[in-house]
Amino acid sequence: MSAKDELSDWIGLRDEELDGATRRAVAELEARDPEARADADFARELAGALGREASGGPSLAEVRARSARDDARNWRPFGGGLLALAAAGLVFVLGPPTGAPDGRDKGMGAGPALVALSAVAEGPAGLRPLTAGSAVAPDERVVFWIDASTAGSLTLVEDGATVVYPQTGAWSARAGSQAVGGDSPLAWRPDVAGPHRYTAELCVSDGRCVTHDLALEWTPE
Amino acid sequence: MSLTATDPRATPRSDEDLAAAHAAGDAHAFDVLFERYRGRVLGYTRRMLGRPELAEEVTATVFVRVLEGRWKPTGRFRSYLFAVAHRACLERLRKRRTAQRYTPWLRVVPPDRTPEEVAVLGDRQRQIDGAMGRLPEEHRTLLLLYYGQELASKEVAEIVGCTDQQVRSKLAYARRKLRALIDEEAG
Repeated sequence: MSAKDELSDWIGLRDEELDGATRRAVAELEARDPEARADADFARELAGALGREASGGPSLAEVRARSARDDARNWRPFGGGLLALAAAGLVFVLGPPTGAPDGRDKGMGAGPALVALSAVAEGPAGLRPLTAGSAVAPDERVVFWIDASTAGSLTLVEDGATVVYPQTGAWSARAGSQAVGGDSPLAWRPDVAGPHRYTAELCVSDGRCVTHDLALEWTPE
Repeated sequence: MSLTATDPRATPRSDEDLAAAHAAGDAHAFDVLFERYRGRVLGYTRRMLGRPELAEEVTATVFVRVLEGRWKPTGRFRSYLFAVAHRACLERLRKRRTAQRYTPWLRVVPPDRTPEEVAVLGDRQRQIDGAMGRLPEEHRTLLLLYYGQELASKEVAEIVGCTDQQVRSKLAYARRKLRALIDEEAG
Protein backbone atom coordinates (compact mmCIF):
# COMPACT_ATOMS: atom_id res chain seq x y z
CA MET A 1 0.00 0.00 0.00
CA SER A 2 1.37 3.43 -0.96
CA ALA A 3 1.83 6.26 1.53
CA LYS A 4 -1.05 8.09 -0.15
CA ASP A 5 -3.31 5.03 0.24
CA GLU A 6 -2.49 4.82 3.92
CA LEU A 7 -3.06 8.55 4.39
CA SER A 8 -6.35 8.43 2.48
CA ASP A 9 -7.60 5.82 4.97
CA TRP A 10 -7.56 8.60 7.59
CA ILE A 11 -9.91 10.79 5.54
CA GLY A 12 -13.41 10.96 6.94
CA LEU A 13 -12.46 10.03 10.49
CA ARG A 14 -13.35 12.23 13.44
CA ASP A 15 -10.69 14.71 14.59
CA GLU A 16 -10.19 13.02 17.95
CA GLU A 17 -9.00 9.86 16.17
CA LEU A 18 -6.08 11.64 14.50
CA ASP A 19 -2.88 12.97 16.03
CA GLY A 20 -1.74 16.46 15.10
CA ALA A 21 0.66 15.42 12.35
CA THR A 22 -1.86 13.11 10.67
CA ARG A 23 -4.56 15.75 10.91
CA ARG A 24 -2.34 18.28 9.10
CA ALA A 25 -1.31 15.73 6.45
CA VAL A 26 -4.93 14.81 5.77
CA ALA A 27 -5.94 18.49 5.54
CA GLU A 28 -3.16 19.05 2.98
CA LEU A 29 -4.27 16.01 0.99
CA GLU A 30 -7.88 17.23 0.95
CA ALA A 31 -6.73 20.69 -0.14
CA ARG A 32 -4.83 19.44 -3.19
CA ASP A 33 -6.79 16.31 -4.20
CA PRO A 34 -10.41 16.79 -5.33
CA GLU A 35 -11.21 13.10 -4.80
CA ALA A 36 -9.93 13.26 -1.22
CA ARG A 37 -12.02 16.37 -0.61
CA ALA A 38 -15.13 14.72 -2.04
CA ASP A 39 -14.55 11.70 0.22
CA ALA A 40 -14.20 13.93 3.28
CA ASP A 41 -17.37 15.84 2.38
CA PHE A 42 -19.25 12.57 1.93
CA ALA A 43 -18.03 11.31 5.31
CA ARG A 44 -19.38 14.46 6.97
CA GLU A 45 -22.68 13.96 5.16
CA LEU A 46 -22.90 10.36 6.40
CA ALA A 47 -22.37 11.44 9.98
CA GLY A 48 -25.63 13.35 9.75
CA ALA A 49 -27.55 11.00 7.47
CA LEU A 50 -27.11 7.72 9.35
CA GLY A 51 -29.32 8.68 12.26
CA ARG A 52 -28.23 7.36 15.63
CA GLU A 53 -31.60 6.67 17.15
CA ALA A 54 -35.01 5.39 16.15
CA SER A 55 -38.25 5.89 18.01
CA GLY A 56 -40.30 3.02 19.31
CA GLY A 57 -38.90 -0.38 20.06
CA PRO A 58 -39.67 -3.01 22.67
CA SER A 59 -40.73 -1.95 26.15
CA LEU A 60 -38.81 -2.82 29.29
CA ALA A 61 -41.67 -5.06 30.38
CA GLU A 62 -41.51 -6.98 27.10
CA VAL A 63 -37.77 -7.54 27.50
CA ARG A 64 -38.13 -8.75 31.08
CA ALA A 65 -41.05 -11.00 30.18
CA ARG A 66 -39.11 -12.54 27.34
CA SER A 67 -36.11 -13.14 29.54
CA ALA A 68 -38.33 -14.97 32.02
CA ARG A 69 -39.84 -17.09 29.20
CA ASP A 70 -36.41 -17.88 27.70
CA ASP A 71 -35.12 -19.01 31.07
CA ALA A 72 -38.02 -21.39 31.47
CA ARG A 73 -37.88 -22.73 27.92
CA ASN A 74 -34.23 -23.15 27.02
CA TRP A 75 -32.07 -23.36 30.06
CA ARG A 76 -32.19 -24.99 33.39
CA PRO A 77 -29.39 -25.55 35.86
CA PHE A 78 -28.06 -29.03 35.41
CA GLY A 79 -27.80 -31.55 38.18
CA GLY A 80 -28.91 -29.47 41.14
CA GLY A 81 -27.06 -30.05 44.37
CA LEU A 82 -24.45 -32.50 43.13
CA LEU A 83 -23.36 -30.18 40.35
CA ALA A 84 -19.64 -30.04 41.12
CA LEU A 85 -19.34 -33.79 41.66
CA ALA A 86 -21.34 -34.48 38.53
CA ALA A 87 -19.14 -32.19 36.48
CA ALA A 88 -16.02 -33.87 37.77
CA GLY A 89 -17.22 -37.43 37.64
CA LEU A 90 -19.51 -37.54 34.66
CA VAL A 91 -16.89 -38.33 32.07
CA PHE A 92 -15.51 -41.14 34.25
CA VAL A 93 -18.96 -42.62 34.73
CA LEU A 94 -20.09 -42.36 31.14
CA GLY A 95 -16.77 -42.64 29.40
CA PRO A 96 -14.92 -40.14 27.25
CA PRO A 97 -16.71 -38.25 24.50
CA THR A 98 -17.77 -40.60 21.75
CA GLY A 99 -17.55 -38.18 18.84
CA ALA A 100 -14.28 -38.40 17.00
CA PRO A 101 -12.82 -34.93 16.66
CA ASP A 102 -12.35 -34.15 13.02
CA GLY A 103 -10.10 -31.22 13.81
CA ARG A 104 -11.40 -29.30 10.83
CA ASP A 105 -9.08 -26.37 10.85
CA LYS A 106 -10.26 -22.99 9.70
CA GLY A 107 -6.82 -21.45 10.06
CA MET A 108 -3.51 -21.71 8.32
CA GLY A 109 -3.11 -25.44 7.92
CA ALA A 110 -3.40 -28.40 10.29
CA GLY A 111 -2.02 -28.22 13.78
CA PRO A 112 -2.35 -29.76 17.17
CA ALA A 113 -5.56 -27.95 18.20
CA LEU A 114 -8.53 -30.33 18.35
CA VAL A 115 -11.98 -30.19 19.83
CA ALA A 116 -14.56 -32.96 20.29
CA LEU A 117 -18.20 -32.22 21.06
CA SER A 118 -20.43 -34.72 22.77
CA ALA A 119 -23.62 -34.63 24.76
CA VAL A 120 -25.50 -36.21 27.61
CA ALA A 121 -29.28 -36.23 27.97
CA GLU A 122 -30.77 -35.38 31.36
CA GLY A 123 -34.31 -36.47 32.08
CA PRO A 124 -36.59 -38.15 34.59
CA ALA A 125 -34.78 -41.46 34.05
CA GLY A 126 -31.44 -39.88 34.80
CA LEU A 127 -28.46 -39.35 32.51
CA ARG A 128 -27.67 -41.11 29.26
CA PRO A 129 -24.88 -40.50 26.75
CA LEU A 130 -25.84 -39.40 23.25
CA THR A 131 -24.15 -40.13 19.94
CA ALA A 132 -24.45 -38.51 16.54
CA GLY A 133 -28.09 -38.58 15.43
CA SER A 134 -29.42 -39.65 18.84
CA ALA A 135 -33.03 -38.83 19.62
CA VAL A 136 -33.76 -36.61 22.62
CA ALA A 137 -37.11 -37.18 24.32
CA PRO A 138 -39.55 -34.32 24.98
CA ASP A 139 -38.88 -34.51 28.71
CA GLU A 140 -35.11 -34.46 28.34
CA ARG A 141 -32.57 -31.66 28.08
CA VAL A 142 -29.01 -31.89 26.89
CA VAL A 143 -25.72 -31.04 28.55
CA PHE A 144 -22.92 -30.55 26.05
CA TRP A 145 -19.35 -31.59 26.71
CA ILE A 146 -16.20 -30.65 24.93
CA ASP A 147 -12.79 -32.24 24.95
CA ALA A 148 -10.21 -29.65 23.93
CA SER A 149 -6.60 -30.48 23.19
CA THR A 150 -5.57 -26.98 24.21
CA ALA A 151 -7.10 -23.98 25.96
CA GLY A 152 -8.95 -21.51 23.81
CA SER A 153 -12.05 -19.45 23.22
CA LEU A 154 -15.10 -21.59 22.59
CA THR A 155 -18.56 -20.97 21.16
CA LEU A 156 -21.38 -23.44 20.63
CA VAL A 157 -23.85 -22.69 17.83
CA GLU A 158 -27.05 -24.44 16.76
CA ASP A 159 -27.60 -24.87 13.00
CA GLY A 160 -24.91 -22.35 12.21
CA ALA A 161 -27.07 -19.49 13.40
CA THR A 162 -28.38 -19.64 16.96
CA VAL A 163 -25.77 -19.03 19.60
CA VAL A 164 -26.15 -21.64 22.32
CA TYR A 165 -23.22 -20.64 24.52
CA PRO A 166 -22.02 -18.17 25.56
CA GLN A 167 -24.78 -15.69 24.86
CA THR A 168 -22.34 -12.80 24.94
CA GLY A 169 -18.57 -12.52 24.87
CA ALA A 170 -16.50 -15.66 24.70
CA TRP A 171 -15.98 -18.66 26.96
CA SER A 172 -12.41 -19.47 27.89
CA ALA A 173 -12.29 -23.24 27.76
CA ARG A 174 -9.36 -25.05 29.35
CA ALA A 175 -7.53 -27.99 27.83
CA GLY A 176 -9.22 -31.28 28.59
CA SER A 177 -12.77 -32.47 29.07
CA GLN A 178 -15.40 -30.15 30.51
CA ALA A 179 -19.09 -29.41 30.39
CA VAL A 180 -20.06 -26.43 28.28
CA GLY A 181 -20.52 -23.70 30.82
CA GLY A 182 -17.58 -24.88 32.89
CA ASP A 183 -18.36 -24.86 36.60
CA SER A 184 -22.02 -24.08 35.94
CA PRO A 185 -23.08 -26.43 33.15
CA LEU A 186 -26.55 -25.81 31.83
CA ALA A 187 -29.01 -28.14 30.15
CA TRP A 188 -30.33 -27.04 26.77
CA ARG A 189 -33.53 -27.54 24.83
CA PRO A 190 -34.07 -25.74 21.48
CA ASP A 191 -37.09 -23.64 20.55
CA VAL A 192 -38.17 -26.03 17.80
CA ALA A 193 -38.14 -29.85 17.77
CA GLY A 194 -36.63 -31.85 14.93
CA PRO A 195 -33.05 -32.31 13.72
CA HIS A 196 -30.46 -29.78 14.81
CA ARG A 197 -26.73 -29.58 14.22
CA TYR A 198 -24.48 -28.30 16.98
CA THR A 199 -21.07 -26.90 16.18
CA ALA A 200 -18.38 -26.31 18.78
CA GLU A 201 -15.72 -23.91 17.56
CA LEU A 202 -12.47 -23.62 19.47
CA CYS A 203 -10.18 -20.73 18.60
CA VAL A 204 -6.68 -20.77 19.98
CA SER A 205 -4.23 -18.00 20.72
CA ASP A 206 -2.55 -18.01 17.30
CA GLY A 207 -5.86 -17.28 15.61
CA ARG A 208 -6.58 -20.79 14.28
CA CYS A 209 -9.99 -22.27 14.85
CA VAL A 210 -11.20 -25.86 14.76
CA THR A 211 -14.75 -27.18 14.83
CA HIS A 212 -16.65 -30.33 15.60
CA ASP A 213 -20.29 -31.01 14.81
CA LEU A 214 -22.88 -33.14 16.56
CA ALA A 215 -26.34 -33.80 15.14
CA LEU A 216 -29.25 -34.53 17.46
CA GLU A 217 -32.90 -35.28 16.78
CA TRP A 218 -35.30 -33.56 19.19
CA THR A 219 -38.57 -35.46 19.46
CA PRO A 220 -41.64 -33.20 19.43
CA GLU A 221 -43.91 -33.10 22.45
CA MET B 1 -26.32 21.48 50.14
CA SER B 2 -25.88 18.10 48.58
CA LEU B 3 -27.27 16.72 45.37
CA THR B 4 -29.56 13.73 45.46
CA ALA B 5 -29.94 11.09 42.78
CA THR B 6 -33.22 12.70 41.64
CA ASP B 7 -31.78 16.24 41.47
CA PRO B 8 -31.51 17.21 37.78
CA ARG B 9 -28.18 18.78 38.58
CA ALA B 10 -26.83 15.42 39.73
CA THR B 11 -24.35 13.86 37.35
CA PRO B 12 -25.92 10.87 35.59
CA ARG B 13 -24.31 7.55 36.44
CA SER B 14 -21.90 6.32 33.83
CA ASP B 15 -22.76 3.33 31.66
CA GLU B 16 -19.97 1.36 33.29
CA ASP B 17 -21.19 2.15 36.84
CA LEU B 18 -24.69 1.04 35.87
CA ALA B 19 -23.44 -2.13 34.17
CA ALA B 20 -21.38 -3.04 37.20
CA ALA B 21 -24.38 -2.39 39.44
CA HIS B 22 -26.53 -4.60 37.24
CA ALA B 23 -23.93 -7.37 37.40
CA ALA B 24 -24.04 -7.01 41.18
CA GLY B 25 -27.80 -7.50 41.21
CA ASP B 26 -29.20 -3.96 41.02
CA ALA B 27 -32.36 -4.42 38.91
CA HIS B 28 -32.93 -0.68 38.46
CA ALA B 29 -29.49 -0.23 36.87
CA PHE B 30 -30.51 -2.29 33.84
CA ASP B 31 -33.69 -0.23 33.48
CA VAL B 32 -31.65 2.97 33.19
CA LEU B 33 -29.31 1.43 30.61
CA PHE B 34 -32.30 0.16 28.65
CA GLU B 35 -33.93 3.58 28.44
CA ARG B 36 -30.60 5.18 27.63
CA TYR B 37 -29.80 2.86 24.72
CA ARG B 38 -33.07 1.47 23.40
CA GLY B 39 -33.37 4.12 20.67
CA ARG B 40 -29.77 3.71 19.61
CA VAL B 41 -29.89 -0.06 19.38
CA LEU B 42 -33.17 0.15 17.48
CA GLY B 43 -31.61 2.72 15.14
CA TYR B 44 -28.76 0.32 14.44
CA THR B 45 -30.88 -2.81 13.99
CA ARG B 46 -33.38 -1.05 11.74
CA ARG B 47 -30.66 0.05 9.38
CA MET B 48 -28.88 -3.30 9.47
CA LEU B 49 -31.93 -5.48 8.97
CA GLY B 50 -34.10 -3.15 6.91
CA ARG B 51 -37.44 -4.29 8.31
CA PRO B 52 -38.92 -2.54 11.34
CA GLU B 53 -40.59 -5.65 12.76
CA LEU B 54 -37.37 -7.67 12.56
CA ALA B 55 -35.44 -4.79 14.08
CA GLU B 56 -37.84 -4.62 17.01
CA GLU B 57 -37.50 -8.36 17.62
CA VAL B 58 -33.71 -8.28 17.42
CA THR B 59 -33.54 -5.19 19.63
CA ALA B 60 -35.48 -7.11 22.26
CA THR B 61 -33.06 -10.04 21.83
CA VAL B 62 -30.11 -7.71 22.39
CA PHE B 63 -31.47 -6.38 25.65
CA VAL B 64 -32.51 -9.84 26.85
CA ARG B 65 -28.93 -10.96 26.34
CA VAL B 66 -27.59 -7.93 28.17
CA LEU B 67 -30.07 -8.51 30.97
CA GLU B 68 -28.98 -12.13 31.30
CA GLY B 69 -25.31 -11.63 30.55
CA ARG B 70 -22.48 -10.41 32.68
CA TRP B 71 -20.59 -7.42 31.36
CA LYS B 72 -16.95 -7.54 32.38
CA PRO B 73 -15.42 -4.18 33.30
CA THR B 74 -12.54 -4.49 30.84
CA GLY B 75 -13.92 -2.04 28.28
CA ARG B 76 -16.73 0.33 27.53
CA PHE B 77 -20.28 -0.85 28.08
CA ARG B 78 -21.45 0.58 24.77
CA SER B 79 -18.81 -1.50 22.93
CA TYR B 80 -20.19 -4.60 24.63
CA LEU B 81 -23.77 -3.58 23.84
CA PHE B 82 -23.10 -3.01 20.16
CA ALA B 83 -21.06 -6.22 19.96
CA VAL B 84 -24.17 -8.05 21.19
CA ALA B 85 -26.28 -6.10 18.68
CA HIS B 86 -23.86 -6.85 15.85
CA ARG B 87 -23.89 -10.57 16.55
CA ALA B 88 -27.69 -10.65 16.91
CA CYS B 89 -28.11 -8.89 13.56
CA LEU B 90 -25.72 -11.31 11.84
CA GLU B 91 -27.62 -14.29 13.27
CA ARG B 92 -30.88 -12.89 11.96
CA LEU B 93 -29.45 -12.02 8.55
CA ARG B 94 -28.09 -15.58 8.18
CA LYS B 95 -31.50 -17.07 8.99
CA ARG B 96 -33.20 -14.81 6.50
CA ARG B 97 -30.65 -15.54 3.79
CA THR B 98 -31.48 -19.22 3.71
CA ALA B 99 -35.18 -18.50 3.34
CA GLN B 100 -35.11 -15.65 0.85
CA ARG B 101 -32.28 -14.80 -1.48
CA TYR B 102 -33.76 -11.74 -3.13
CA THR B 103 -35.19 -8.86 -1.14
CA PRO B 104 -36.79 -6.47 -3.62
CA TRP B 105 -38.22 -4.34 -0.82
CA LEU B 106 -34.73 -2.97 -0.11
CA ARG B 107 -34.70 -1.36 -3.53
CA VAL B 108 -38.19 0.04 -3.25
CA VAL B 109 -38.32 1.38 0.29
CA PRO B 110 -35.22 2.62 2.11
CA PRO B 111 -34.17 0.24 4.88
CA ASP B 112 -35.57 1.78 8.02
CA ARG B 113 -38.40 3.98 6.77
CA THR B 114 -42.08 3.32 6.27
CA PRO B 115 -43.56 4.32 2.88
CA GLU B 116 -45.21 7.31 4.59
CA GLU B 117 -41.89 8.51 6.00
CA VAL B 118 -40.21 8.17 2.62
CA ALA B 119 -42.78 10.50 1.05
CA VAL B 120 -41.61 13.43 3.14
CA LEU B 121 -37.87 12.77 2.95
CA GLY B 122 -35.56 14.59 0.64
CA ASP B 123 -34.21 12.88 -2.44
CA ARG B 124 -30.69 12.76 -1.09
CA GLN B 125 -31.65 10.97 2.11
CA ARG B 126 -33.65 8.47 0.07
CA GLN B 127 -30.63 7.88 -2.14
CA ILE B 128 -28.38 7.25 0.86
CA ASP B 129 -30.91 5.02 2.58
CA GLY B 130 -31.54 2.99 -0.56
CA ALA B 131 -27.84 2.56 -1.29
CA MET B 132 -27.14 1.50 2.32
CA GLY B 133 -29.61 -1.33 1.88
CA ARG B 134 -27.66 -2.58 -1.13
CA LEU B 135 -24.27 -2.56 0.58
CA PRO B 136 -22.81 -5.87 1.75
CA GLU B 137 -23.56 -6.33 5.43
CA GLU B 138 -19.88 -6.02 6.41
CA HIS B 139 -19.66 -2.50 4.97
CA ARG B 140 -23.07 -1.49 6.23
CA THR B 141 -22.02 -2.58 9.72
CA LEU B 142 -18.87 -0.46 9.67
CA LEU B 143 -20.60 2.67 8.43
CA LEU B 144 -23.44 2.33 10.92
CA LEU B 145 -21.17 1.69 13.89
CA TYR B 146 -18.70 4.45 13.06
CA TYR B 147 -20.83 7.22 11.52
CA GLY B 148 -24.28 6.27 12.76
CA GLN B 149 -23.50 5.26 16.33
CA GLU B 150 -20.32 7.39 16.57
CA LEU B 151 -18.22 4.62 18.09
CA ALA B 152 -14.45 5.01 18.02
CA SER B 153 -12.61 3.08 15.31
CA LYS B 154 -10.97 1.02 18.04
CA GLU B 155 -14.38 0.03 19.40
CA VAL B 156 -15.57 -0.87 15.91
CA ALA B 157 -12.45 -2.99 15.43
CA GLU B 158 -13.17 -4.93 18.63
CA ILE B 159 -16.79 -5.48 17.68
CA VAL B 160 -16.16 -6.78 14.16
CA GLY B 161 -12.93 -8.58 15.02
CA CYS B 162 -10.26 -6.78 13.02
CA THR B 163 -7.50 -4.23 13.56
CA ASP B 164 -7.84 -0.42 13.71
CA GLN B 165 -6.01 -0.18 10.41
CA GLN B 166 -8.38 -2.63 8.75
CA VAL B 167 -11.36 -0.64 10.03
CA ARG B 168 -9.98 2.58 8.52
CA SER B 169 -9.25 0.89 5.22
CA LYS B 170 -12.66 -0.82 5.09
CA LEU B 171 -14.46 2.41 6.02
CA ALA B 172 -12.74 4.17 3.13
CA TYR B 173 -13.74 1.36 0.78
CA ALA B 174 -17.31 1.33 2.12
CA ARG B 175 -17.69 5.08 1.57
CA ARG B 176 -16.44 4.76 -2.01
CA LYS B 177 -18.76 1.83 -2.63
CA LEU B 178 -21.73 3.71 -1.17
CA ARG B 179 -21.04 6.78 -3.30
CA ALA B 180 -20.81 4.56 -6.38
CA LEU B 181 -24.16 2.95 -5.57
CA ILE B 182 -25.78 6.35 -5.09
CA ASP B 183 -24.34 7.61 -8.39
CA GLU B 184 -25.50 4.44 -10.15
CA GLU B 185 -29.04 4.84 -8.82
CA ALA B 186 -29.10 8.53 -9.74
CA GLY B 187 -28.17 7.39 -13.22
